[in-house]
Amino acid sequence: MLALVDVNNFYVSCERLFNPKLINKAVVILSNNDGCIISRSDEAKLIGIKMGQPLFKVKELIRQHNVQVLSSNYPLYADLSSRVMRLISGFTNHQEVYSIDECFISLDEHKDPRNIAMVVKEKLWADLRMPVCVGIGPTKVLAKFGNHCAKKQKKWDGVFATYLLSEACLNEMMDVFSVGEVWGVGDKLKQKLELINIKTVLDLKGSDVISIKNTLNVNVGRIVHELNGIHCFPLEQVAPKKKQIITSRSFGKTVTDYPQLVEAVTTFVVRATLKLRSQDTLCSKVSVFISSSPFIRDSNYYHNLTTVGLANPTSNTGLILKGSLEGLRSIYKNNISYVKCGVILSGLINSENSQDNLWPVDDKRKGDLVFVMDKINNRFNGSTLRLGTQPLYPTWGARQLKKSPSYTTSWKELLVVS
Amino acid sequence: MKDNKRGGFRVGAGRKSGSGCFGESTKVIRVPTSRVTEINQYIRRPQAGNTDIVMLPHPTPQKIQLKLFDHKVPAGFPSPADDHIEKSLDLNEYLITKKESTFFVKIKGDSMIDASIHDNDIVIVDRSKQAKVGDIILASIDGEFTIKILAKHLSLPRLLPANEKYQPIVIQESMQFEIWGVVTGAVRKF
Repeated sequence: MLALVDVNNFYVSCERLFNPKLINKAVVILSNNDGCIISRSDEAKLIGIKMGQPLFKVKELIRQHNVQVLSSNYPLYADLSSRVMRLISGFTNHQEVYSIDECFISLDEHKDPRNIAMVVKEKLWADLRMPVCVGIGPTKVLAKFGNHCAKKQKKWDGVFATYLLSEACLNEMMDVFSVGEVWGVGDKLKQKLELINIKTVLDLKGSDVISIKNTLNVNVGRIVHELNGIHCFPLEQVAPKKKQIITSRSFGKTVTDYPQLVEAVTTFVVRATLKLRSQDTLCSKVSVFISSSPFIRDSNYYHNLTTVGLANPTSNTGLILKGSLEGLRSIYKNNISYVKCGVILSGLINSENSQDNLWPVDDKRKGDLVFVMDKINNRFNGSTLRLGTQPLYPTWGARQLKKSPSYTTSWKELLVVS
Repeated sequence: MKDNKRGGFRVGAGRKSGSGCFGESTKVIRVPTSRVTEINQYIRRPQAGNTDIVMLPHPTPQKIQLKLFDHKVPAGFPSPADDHIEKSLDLNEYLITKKESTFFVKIKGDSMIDASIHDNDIVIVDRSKQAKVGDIILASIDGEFTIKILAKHLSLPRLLPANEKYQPIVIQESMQFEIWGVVTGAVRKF
C-alpha cells in the first residue's frame, strides 16, 4: 500500500506554529512579491478567497473580514518542511518527497496501513502542530485520490484508505469528484477528456485504456490503469535531475535603467548556476526575458525573450553570465517600466557526458574558480563572495511587507518569550 | 534441422589435445613482435623446479625520475592514540534528543530567574515531550507566549513564575490555552 501525506494549508500552518494569534482566524499568505495569494486557511477559503488570486482583487474581502495577510517566509517553510519529511521517514523504508508539503510513502511493512497513518497524523500534530491528511491506496493515483477525499470530507478523520471501501462504494465516491481532481490531469487534459464525455473520476476509471492511449497519450492510459489499481508509477526516491532551470522574480518597484537590469540578471544567473552545479549538470543554452506590467493598460506592454547558445556546455557562472548579458542587450528597450525579469538555463546535460571542444575556449582554471567560490560561500554566508554586478541589497528587490521572522534559521530572529 | 552427413565435426578427428611439444592444451595469445623470440625461449626452456616467477629483462631499459620528497613516508613511532580516536564533543548532541521537534527560543525578562533562566538566555524547547506538573513549559495563552512552570489547581492548569515579584497565572476555561512544548535546557554566552 502507498500513502500520500499532505500538510493542510502548509504555509499558514507554519505561520500558526509561531504565531498563535493566527489560530482560528482567516489567514492568507502571499507569493514572492506580495502579488498573489498562495496559501489560505480554511476560514479564508470559506470567505471565498481563491487560490492564486491577485491580492488587489480581494482587497475588499480582506478588509471586510479582517483577514490576516502575510508575505511568504520561505526559510521558515523549508526548515519545517524538512522536519515534517524527516518525521514521516521514521515510519517507512521508502519515501518520495513530492513537494514542499507532501510525500508518498510505502506502507508495505505495516499490517494495518490505516492505523499507522493515524499515528503519523497524530505525531505530526503533536511534534510540529502540522495538520495533515493521508490518502492510502494501492497506487499513487489512488493514494492521491484518497488524500483528496480525506481533505474534502471531514467524516474520514483525515485518513482515507481506498482498500477499506467496497468497489461499489469507491465507485460512488469517484462519481462525485470531477476528473480534474485526478493526479496528473491538468486543465488542458480535463477539457480534452470532457470532450469525449469523461467528466468524473469514475468515467476515467471506466474508460477503455487502448482508445485513451490512442486518442490522447500513453501517460493518460497509465493514469486509467492506476485508477484501477494497476501499478504504473513507482516511488521515485531520488529526485530526477531538472531539465530546465528557471530563476525569475517580479521587481519590488518598476525598473527602467539598464544597469539595474544587469544587476537583476547577474543575481538570477548566480542563483541558477548554483542549482545547475548542485545537480552536476552543464547547460548549453541560456535565455533571458524581461517584461513590463500587463496590468497597466495605458502603457505599451512590452515583453521579450531571447536565447543565446553557449559555445561549450558549461556550468561556469562567468561564461553563462556573459551570454545572458549579450541576450539582455539585444532585447533591452529604453523608456519601458520593467516589472519582471528572469533567466532560463536549458539544454542541460550531465557533466560526465559532456564532449570537449577540439579548441577549448574555456579556461579550465576559471571553472575551478567557480567551485572555490561555491565552497567559500557554502562555508560562510550565502553571498560572501559575489560578482561585481551582484548587489547585496538590490533596490529592485521583492516587496515583502509582512514577513514573519525566520524563527528556525536565524539566531537574530528567534522567538522571544517572557 | 537437416541431418548433414558431410563436413563439420566428427568425433575423434584432428590432432589430439595435448599431443604438441608442451604436452598439454594450448591457447593463442597476443605478444609484442619485438619480444616473440624472448618469450619463445622462455616457454620452451626446461622447467626448473618450482620457479614460477621469472623476471624478463626489458629490451630497452628506461630511466624514471623520482623526486626526493614526493611522498611523506610515515616513519617513527606510530601514534599510541590511533586506536582510540573518537569524535569530538557536540553540544547539539548533549542538548537535543529529538532534532525534528526541538526549537530555540530567546528569553526576555526575569520571571524565571529562580529556575536559572535569565534575560537573553536561549532555551531549548522540545515539542515531542509530554508536559508533566513541575515541568518548565512554553505555552500560549490567548495568543501570547510565555515560559512558566506547569502546576495544577483544582483540575485547572496554573502557570507559576520562578520569581516572587510575579503572580501565578490561573488558566480559565474561557482562555485559549495551549502547551507548545517542554523546556529541556538553556544556554548562555558570557
